[in-house]
Amino acid sequence: MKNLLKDRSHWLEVWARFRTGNQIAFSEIYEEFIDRLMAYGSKITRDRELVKDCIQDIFIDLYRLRPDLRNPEYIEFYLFKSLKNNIVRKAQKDKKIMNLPVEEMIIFELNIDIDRDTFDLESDRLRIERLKSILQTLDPQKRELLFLKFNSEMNYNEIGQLLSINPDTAKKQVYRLLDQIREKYGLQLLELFVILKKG
Amino acid sequence: MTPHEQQFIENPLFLRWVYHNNLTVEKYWEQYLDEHPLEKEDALAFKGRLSELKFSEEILNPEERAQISANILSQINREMQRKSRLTIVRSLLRYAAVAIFFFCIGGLQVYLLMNKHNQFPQVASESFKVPASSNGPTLITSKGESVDLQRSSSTLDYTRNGEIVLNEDSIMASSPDQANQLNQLVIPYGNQSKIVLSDNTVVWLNAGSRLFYPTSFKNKTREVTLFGEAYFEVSKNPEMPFIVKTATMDIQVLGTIFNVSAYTEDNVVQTVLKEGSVSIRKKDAGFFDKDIVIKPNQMATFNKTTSDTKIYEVDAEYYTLWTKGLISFEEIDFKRVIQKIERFYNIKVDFSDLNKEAIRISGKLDLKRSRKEVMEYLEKVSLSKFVQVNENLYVIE
Repeated sequence: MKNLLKDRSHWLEVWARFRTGNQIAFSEIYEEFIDRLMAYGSKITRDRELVKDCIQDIFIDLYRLRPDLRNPEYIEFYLFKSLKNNIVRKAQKDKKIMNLPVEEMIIFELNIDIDRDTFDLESDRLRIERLKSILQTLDPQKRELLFLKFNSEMNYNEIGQLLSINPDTAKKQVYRLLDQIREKYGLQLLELFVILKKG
Repeated sequence: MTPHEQQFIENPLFLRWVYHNNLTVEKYWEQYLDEHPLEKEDALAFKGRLSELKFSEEILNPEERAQISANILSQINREMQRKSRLTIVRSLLRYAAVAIFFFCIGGLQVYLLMNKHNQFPQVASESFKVPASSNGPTLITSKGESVDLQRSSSTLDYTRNGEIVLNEDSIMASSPDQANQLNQLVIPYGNQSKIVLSDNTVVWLNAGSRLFYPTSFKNKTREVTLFGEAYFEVSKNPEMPFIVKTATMDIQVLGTIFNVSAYTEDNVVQTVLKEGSVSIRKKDAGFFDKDIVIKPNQMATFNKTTSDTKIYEVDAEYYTLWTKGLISFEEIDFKRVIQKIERFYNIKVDFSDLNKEAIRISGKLDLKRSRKEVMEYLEKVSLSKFVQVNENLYVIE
């Protein structure tokens, strides 16, 4: 069970195998993380080709630098961090973004995944619109924080490092954000209810 | 947030349940909530609420994926080539008098990366892997019955009216209406087997292979499907071409003797012709692509990663020796030789030094000898050491 769940300890073990030159471990890492990296990278920049290039490069680097990689780092953190750094570095080099500080450069747009079974009623569509607008009012770093919390298994220490904030702040912000969203969302649902009744 | 909610949000498995669920995770939570009924209501409500915040994700299409893995592979290959060039200089200085041949790249295959896209019609994907756990060759009949063939090398014979003769003694009847359906012969690692099909075509199946074939051939062509390695002596019948289907290509013959090695886990599919003629058609061949035709003592190799086909002049004898329990190799990557003995003895051998994989070695092995003798021989040719980790695992140092 433990192994099938592919938790942190599983990846530590894969990491160790990979460092001894095991190619199957390399393939496993690739298969597991390529989609997650694509999902993360394309939130950092909308330049799809750039994201693909960077993903490619970090896997090549991973293989090439294998002997030098420090052991205890969590592989997901290592990959996410490398991808982010890589994208930022390349984007700056391409002069697509002129000397903007990293925080302003990343928009980190979040869309709600509407491709779900629940999405069949007009009221569902409205609800999703509401959520979207709530997300848009957040600053990009908070959106990234939510994304990382929900879509990775990194701890606050690691998420904090990615966002250059301290771990405690990261944790507090996640809690606050969830409360905020619930509050606003609840309110808006109430409004929605009123509107529907009127209509 | 309630204490339960705080506990859930700090559990990566909970978030995976909400956003990236799979069967294992689902089962985990089913069991967990059965054991913690007090948390059930909160868990489901919280899950429902969080799932509203499922963010859309960009995904790679298959072409982009293939392109990325191909780029990674070629770059890694280039790196390794540079490294092994350095190593060769050092090794040659150290073992100047010893017969190491060449270092060569090609042994490095991140084969798993590329195999995902090999869709294969007719045969379900569960068939790709031969179960390592089964003890001996197994026949799975068209009715779905599984027959253990007991001996590690056995002979199956199909008569024209569809009876099955095993090791020249026992006979199993098969009903005529099943004649067109597929039987499956499964040869686990550590075994080999010979089968005579209803048209008198003889097939030797090497360790770790599967062959799908009908009890008798009723169509315009005689078609079988192969995963792994097999040696065919196809009976002549110009009116009914014989076709061997593999995951990446179809090999069509009239009457001829040839060897096909198409293990799913190998990056290269090899077809070696001993007599007659064969034509090979890639599965993804375009409208204008010509079939590849080879002559006796030629080998066609198909590289799954690059989709390249090459034709070499070879001695076909070398490639069919395994039917006699021998393997012979001339300037072959050490890794490829190791793969063969892994299958034959049903063991696992890891390389602790990746550079060793690409050493080219030559020689002949009699696999009927003991594992130990074979390994001692390989240690000598490759200048390495086999260290036994447990009963079935070795590491080359």
